[in-house]
Amino acid sequence: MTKINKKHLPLYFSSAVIILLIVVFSLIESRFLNAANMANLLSDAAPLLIMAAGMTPVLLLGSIDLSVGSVCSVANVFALTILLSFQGTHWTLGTAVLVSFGLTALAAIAAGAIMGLVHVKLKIPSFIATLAFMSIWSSVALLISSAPIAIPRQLWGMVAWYDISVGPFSLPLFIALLFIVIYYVILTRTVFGRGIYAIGGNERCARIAGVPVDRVKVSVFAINAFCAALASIFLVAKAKSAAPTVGDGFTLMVIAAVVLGGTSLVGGVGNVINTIFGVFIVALISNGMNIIGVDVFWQRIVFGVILLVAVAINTDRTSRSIAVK
Amino acid sequence: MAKVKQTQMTITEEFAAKVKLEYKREKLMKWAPVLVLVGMIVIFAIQLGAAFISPLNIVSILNQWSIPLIVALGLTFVIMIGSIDLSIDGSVGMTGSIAAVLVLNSQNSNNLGVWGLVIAILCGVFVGFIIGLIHVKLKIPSFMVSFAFMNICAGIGLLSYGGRPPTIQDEWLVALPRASFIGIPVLVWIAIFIMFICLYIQECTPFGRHIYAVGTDETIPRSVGINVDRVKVMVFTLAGFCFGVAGVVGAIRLGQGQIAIGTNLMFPAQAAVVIGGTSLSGGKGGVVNTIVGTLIMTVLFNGLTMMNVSGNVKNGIQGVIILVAVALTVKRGAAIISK
Repeated sequence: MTKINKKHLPLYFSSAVIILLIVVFSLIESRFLNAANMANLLSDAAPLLIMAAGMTPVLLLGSIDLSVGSVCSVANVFALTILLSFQGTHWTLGTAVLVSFGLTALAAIAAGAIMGLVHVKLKIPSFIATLAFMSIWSSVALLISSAPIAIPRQLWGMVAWYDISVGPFSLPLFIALLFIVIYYVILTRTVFGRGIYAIGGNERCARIAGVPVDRVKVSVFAINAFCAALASIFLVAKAKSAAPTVGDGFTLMVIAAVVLGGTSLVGGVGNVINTIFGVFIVALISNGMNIIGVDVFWQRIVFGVILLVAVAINTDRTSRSIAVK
Repeated sequence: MAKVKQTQMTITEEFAAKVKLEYKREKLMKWAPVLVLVGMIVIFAIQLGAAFISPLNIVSILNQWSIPLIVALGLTFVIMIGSIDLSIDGSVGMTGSIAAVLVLNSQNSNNLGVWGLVIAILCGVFVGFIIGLIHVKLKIPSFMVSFAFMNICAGIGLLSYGGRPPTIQDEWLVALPRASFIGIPVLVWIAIFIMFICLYIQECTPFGRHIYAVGTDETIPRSVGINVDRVKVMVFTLAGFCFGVAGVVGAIRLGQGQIAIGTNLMFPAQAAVVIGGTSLSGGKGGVVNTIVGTLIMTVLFNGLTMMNVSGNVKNGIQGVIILVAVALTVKRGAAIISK
């Protein structure tokens, strides 16, 4: 009898959940399976995919980042404010887009690096450091713009790239998946990536073995913030507007998705490809609940419960000595 | 031989000096929050003049102080055992909404009066109990459980009134926010009452002592035969009770039940507890620290409001305060691993 490889267990579990969800939702509501909704679901998943890809290594380190949502909000209004400031100048549309998105990405990387440095150098636990930054960034987002900003109709060309698609697969989805594949290769095939796993497994050993722990951690937080910025650019393009609170709901969904993908909160276990499955579970539930007309207030309850269940399944309770705080 | 003795002496001396220095530092850290509070009051009094220390403003500071105080008291015990509770925004908002839905209101025909408030507080207690139970039994980190419950509770709160916030119409409850006793509003007295209950629990009950023991090193009370899991669940339940009371007081003050009662309560509470000197690693601090901490936050925000600083900036300042306070109290050194 062949034994089931325990390493692949989360993968089997999440695939089973995805199939189950598709069956249940399509039985309840036939519109769920039609092509338009599927295309919608796939392209809506792109921002979540990017953010979850960034969050996975953070959890692999055994840390957490509660600020991704508000970083996304800041980047969202920041990008569009810069973009609109090009209005009426002699710059071409393409340059304006490149400059504003480039600046947003750089600012986000800087923000993530600062957060990483605060966590690493001051030895503040990551959940409290990122919680504090969540408060700071959401207030910065509201300072940049306290009301939603819309892209004027004549400038819609700036974000037309978002709607390019081949069949049900849109450009943002391709970018997100490509990003994940590259990140997967980095995580599994480079010194930096193996360093992340080593730190998550046992930080002290990793340090003794010569892994530049602090540098790796700061880089991971910076990449995570970059992912949040990229997701926020997708959100700008999708909604053709920006809002200072658009990212707030994402933190819960992103962490839920990563944990559902089998990444453990303790660190060292999981991989970024499995996160794709976690993201699609979250995306399916979110889309399915919308389609069958579940009250929007229920969604937060459902995601909260899902997060708890996912963490409960993933928690390793074999060693009794560990004190959970 | 003589050389050995000499080095021993220096080692002893060195040790004594080190202990003395640490003791001095600890003493300074103990009084630092009070100094900050006094310094802030002096600065604001100079900057803003008589308007800041007028009786009217003092009553308004007390009013602003009451809800953060109740919330922070509950959080204090949780942080003292080394855990954390992020559910505040949700659970306070939820209990406030439920309270408003159950008393005489504009949305439905419920009229449970005081019992409505009691049920709402019990909902808070129940949520706290469940958070504690899941944290302890399933061994999930408390920040994760409470983070999930922040969202679950916010959802329940929104569901309870279905999008249109109910207005409280019970005459007695409508009159309550304006009632006062010896010049201090009744709602502030409720906060002070809760404060004394918490102080009593901390100082005069075995449970209070167990909290310190569990926070310092939970293997020790466990080996002495204290039911550590039960202490933890009770701490989260007590926190849930405080959040419930805060939600009900918030709903009465607002005259309306809505989830926004809890919004933006968590950061001031975390900041207040940490700034008061209760360490995130547990075992240190207590109710008195939190009283000073909440006063610091309230006076600061009152002063900033009077200086016309915008609300958004104030929210950002909270984050900075949390970072600075934690950075000052957290243990450092090569051996410490922070995740």
